Amino acid sequence: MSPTFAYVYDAVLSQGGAAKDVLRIETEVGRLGIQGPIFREGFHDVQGSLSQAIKEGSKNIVFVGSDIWFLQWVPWFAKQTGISIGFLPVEHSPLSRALGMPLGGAAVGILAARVLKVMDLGTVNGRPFLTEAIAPQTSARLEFEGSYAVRAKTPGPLAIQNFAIQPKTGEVISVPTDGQLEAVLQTPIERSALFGMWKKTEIEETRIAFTRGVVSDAGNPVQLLVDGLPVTGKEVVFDVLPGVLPVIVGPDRLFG
Amino acid sequence: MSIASAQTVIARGVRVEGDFKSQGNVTIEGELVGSLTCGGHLTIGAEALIEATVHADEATVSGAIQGNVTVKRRLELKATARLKGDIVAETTAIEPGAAMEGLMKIGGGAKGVEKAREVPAAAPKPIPKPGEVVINTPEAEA
Repeated sequence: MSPTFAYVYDAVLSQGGAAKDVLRIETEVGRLGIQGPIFREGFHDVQGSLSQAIKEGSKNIVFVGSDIWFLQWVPWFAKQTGISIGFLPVEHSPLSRALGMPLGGAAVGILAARVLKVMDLGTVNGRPFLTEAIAPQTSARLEFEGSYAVRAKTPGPLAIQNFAIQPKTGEVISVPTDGQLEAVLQTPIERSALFGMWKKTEIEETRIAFTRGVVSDAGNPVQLLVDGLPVTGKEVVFDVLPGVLPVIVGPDRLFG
Repeated sequence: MSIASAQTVIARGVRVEGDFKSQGNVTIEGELVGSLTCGGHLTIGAEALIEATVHADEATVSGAIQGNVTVKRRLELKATARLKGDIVAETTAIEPGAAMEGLMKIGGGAKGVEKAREVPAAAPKPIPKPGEVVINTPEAEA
């Protein structure tokens, strides 16, 4: 058993349909000699057990499960020092593709190779996040670096991105190693011709890189989905934590 | 604070107010009021409205600017460009149809561009000798 690896299993892996996938993973882990303690959500006090495992020498914590579940662990990652994080996906997702992690047993070799990329995290009102914060429709005011403010004339979608992937193409549109966040504001613009007889709505995209931003909406609550979880506030402050999260990545990852 | 950026885009329908700075390339199709500093190539779109002091490494202007413009290298004014303010640039290219109202200072090298915008330094103040009292009054300054 390699004392430097520890594994956390998503609760869904305890369900019958996942048994074969888990067996393949564990067989490959054993073959490559990177076994370690396994903690199952729903059966253990996982955070307490992980803290103990880290004290006892675990240097690589591997999360086996869905990307939505993996992202919920980001605030815990952010508090750790001296460890690296691995993600072993059990379903195809934009995140697993961007990290270069194939499904199941095929990813175990990548974990064993332990190629690391040190990623940035964003924070929203102090809470760390890895991917992005989204407001589907907003007319919020965005203030950047304490020196300028941006507002769209008509409401539209807003995204604050640290590590964003275009779902259709898989292209990484916000790189998690550039030391900054990106604000993306989509604004519908109506075009007309022939004295208003022909009308077309075009979506224009504003993109701004920043390290500190504040989102507010004239005292109204700003509602965002951050790494898939809801966050609400009258004023939402974004910061970047550059180069804080070492993550094991595959050779087919979609960023540098 | 200046931010390194591969490409910043301010689209139509968006308004920026304040001191905007970017170290990378910037494209503006919307509105900007205040000041604009771009360390890379600045592109002002045909429908853009800028009321600002503009500093850029290079610039291509198709829209409207009200304010002084300082470009370290090349400034290109397209046919739809409308400038109201002074221009300082190393080189320019102006398409027929471009309109401007103000003074132009072109050429002179990088030092010429910087010098054209220089504020004269104040005369150094004498260091008082031990025991000497210096009273700074407008009359004394004069």
